[in-house]
Amino acid sequence: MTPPEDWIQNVALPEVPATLDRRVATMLTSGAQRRPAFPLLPVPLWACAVLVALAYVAGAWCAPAPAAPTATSLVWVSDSNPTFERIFLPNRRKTSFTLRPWILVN
Amino acid sequence: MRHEYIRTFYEANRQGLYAYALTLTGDTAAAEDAVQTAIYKLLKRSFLPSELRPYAYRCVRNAAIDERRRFAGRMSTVPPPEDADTRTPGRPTFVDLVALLQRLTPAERDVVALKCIKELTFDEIARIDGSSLNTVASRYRRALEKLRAIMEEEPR
Repeated sequence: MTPPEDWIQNVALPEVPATLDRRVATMLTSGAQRRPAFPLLPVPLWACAVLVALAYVAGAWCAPAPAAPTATSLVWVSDSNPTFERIFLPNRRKTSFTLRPWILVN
Repeated sequence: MRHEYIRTFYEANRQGLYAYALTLTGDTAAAEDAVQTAIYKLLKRSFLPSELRPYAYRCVRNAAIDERRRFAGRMSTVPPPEDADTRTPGRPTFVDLVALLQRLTPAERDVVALKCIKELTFDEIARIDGSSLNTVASRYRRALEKLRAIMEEEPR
């Protein structure tokens, strides 16, 4: 008796239909090109997320530090403004005034 | 260039891919669709896998399973008989093979078809199947024992 593997290997394989060859040839020539899933967004979403994160870090790194109050401006405030203590020592007086002095000066 | 590579691959493996799909689906139209889907998936990929053959067979297998599921009620389980002119005397036909393989479980049928029809290695079959090498080898051995028993009962 023929062993099963020899019997199977002796089987005449079916002819590939011409229609299949034609379908594949059409795909290969007219090009089933790779297209992005969403045509308006060819850049992958993860790339966008990385760019945004980089821009944020670069912005935080390069932004100028807020201007510190100078001695002269403090003197000017103290001379002309009777509410100097209320402005500069808000916590000690327990007032509700919380603005930073240099914002007022500038 | 990429298309040329896929074209060369298809021309070298078209008969094996089609026969495999036909073994799984048992329907000529569904087998054609499965092979076309597999080639389409290859074209759609950004990077081709380093070993194209196991990947393409896996695509065919997945597509064939989908096709079979989709047209479960409408498919014939055995392909239409071949023309009498194309039959070679003393040589088993593909219809005989499909009828014989139907007696195995789907997993065993898969391994036998890949190993015997296209002579893929156990390693390649394991990659297609997603199983371990030992599982594939023991499945193949078990399937051959079953086939031997069937062929002893019903000599061919």
